[in-house]
Amino acid sequence: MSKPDPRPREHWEFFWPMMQGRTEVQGALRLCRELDDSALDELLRHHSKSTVDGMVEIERRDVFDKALQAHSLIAVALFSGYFPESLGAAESKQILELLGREPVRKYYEERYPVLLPSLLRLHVAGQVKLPRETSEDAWGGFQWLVRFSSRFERDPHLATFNNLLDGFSYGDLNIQVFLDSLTDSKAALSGFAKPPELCTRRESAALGMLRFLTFCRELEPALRAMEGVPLTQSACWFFYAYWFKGFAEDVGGRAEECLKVLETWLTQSTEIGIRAERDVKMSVLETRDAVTALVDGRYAAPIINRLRLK
Amino acid sequence: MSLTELGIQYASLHLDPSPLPGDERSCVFLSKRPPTALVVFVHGFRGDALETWQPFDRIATGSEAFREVDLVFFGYDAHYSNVMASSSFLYDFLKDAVAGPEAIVSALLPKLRADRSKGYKRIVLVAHSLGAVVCRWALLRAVEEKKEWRENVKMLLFAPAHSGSDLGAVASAAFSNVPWVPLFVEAVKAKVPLVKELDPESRILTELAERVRRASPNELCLRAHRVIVAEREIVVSNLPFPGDPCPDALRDTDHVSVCKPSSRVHKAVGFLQEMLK
Repeated sequence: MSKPDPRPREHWEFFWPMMQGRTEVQGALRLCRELDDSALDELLRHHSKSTVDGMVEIERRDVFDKALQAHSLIAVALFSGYFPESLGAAESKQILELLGREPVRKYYEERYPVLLPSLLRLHVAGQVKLPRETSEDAWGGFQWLVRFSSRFERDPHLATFNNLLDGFSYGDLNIQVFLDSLTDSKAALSGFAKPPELCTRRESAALGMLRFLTFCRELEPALRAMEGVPLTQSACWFFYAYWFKGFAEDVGGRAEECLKVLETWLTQSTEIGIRAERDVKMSVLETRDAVTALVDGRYAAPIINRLRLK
Repeated sequence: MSLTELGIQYASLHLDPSPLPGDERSCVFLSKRPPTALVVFVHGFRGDALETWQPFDRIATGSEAFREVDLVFFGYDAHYSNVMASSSFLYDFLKDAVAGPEAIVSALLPKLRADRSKGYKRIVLVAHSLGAVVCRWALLRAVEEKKEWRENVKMLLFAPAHSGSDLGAVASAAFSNVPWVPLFVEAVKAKVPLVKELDPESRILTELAERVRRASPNELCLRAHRVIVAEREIVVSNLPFPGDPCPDALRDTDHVSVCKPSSRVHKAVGFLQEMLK
């Protein structure tokens, strides 16, 4: 019998300590320890139950969102075989302390459903054994996701736009009011020369919209290229599935509205050069195709079918 | 496109990226082997530690030439800060990185810290646009304070902004990470200090040139080892800074793409490899 490849263990031994250094992971664990179930359940409520508008609440929920993202990354690494199947007793215990806590579980399974933390919890608890790919192509796919996500995760404008997509409102500004306000490109893009903290919510959302379209335009071709490692491809898609699955109709429709706004701006612009006009048109077409592929479910299929999920 | 064309390949020589200890804006790719060299990438106006250089990180981490090289993508407030403050942060980072591994490696990875106890034999600063000005001010301080480590530092500059820039153009080019940027040029108004400091008449630029002229010609770190300029440059002047070599131009590039290696323009990576030998 051949020896197991030592590299997944090596990857994990570097990743786990670095994850412990992330303030949101420690912050989420600390909140789990400080708050009783009732307080935690209230903190992690769905926003339709009562508005989330206090600064402390928003910051604390953000800590959980980022901690869940960090754990989702572990699940992607398991599918790609980048980490070993068994993560270790102490590590598993800590993962379950967060993901197994009832109010936290309701948050990511019922109120704002994301699949990867659930699968990680079941895997670590020994209830499900996640299937694995083990090729270096799959590992490359995981590494690509680490880099790609690090480019977008701290973008405040993207966060503003995504919150609007998610149904949040800032005062009178909701997604429809925002989209309706985009008729004048100069006014819409007045935030371009401002540092993020001086932008209004509307200006921030406009820049976030462009960032979101760029994000889609880069994500989809990368997923398509991973067709030879379908579990990794699907896991990378599920890493962002919240935006493309739970809200598929909204996101697809809203993205199309955004692209139509760009096309309108293009026809209104009097100073754009021929080459630039061609480039913008091409970008719009590519982004439209990318969004279509991201919301039609094709990238969900490998994991759904393999795990026989409904 | 294939995995290879998109650069989606396993990079076995470096660890996955992580923030620098105590500096969430900057990002480091640590070599798995004891490193001999440190490369620090410094972005320009409104740039971002990683975004500016895409896909330099994955090309470098996939290349044997960078096997024993730590790669730091230095981040700073390139929206509303100013040159002197930014260069001060870079200077502090360099000073700390030379003093010990604590500035580079988290305390959570003691073995990697131990691997770096002997320090770096070479440090290369790779800078784009405004980042070049930030770097040169940081090195000027190292010279004026007679720091020994300055002798191990070289600069590779892409479209440096030392000779001034078109204020409107630098602001609008800064948004070229958005593919539809040409639509928005009309909306851009540059009102931030960093852009004003890149005016050809800026005191920050003239004072820098004056001080470098006054420094000893033996202070080699103050002169760029190599300067790369874009074929379609409309943002900065390509006039060489006093003492710098004549620039190499890259075909089919503009102010933003000149520092982004592509299948066509891999030359830039080659220049960096040469400097690490």
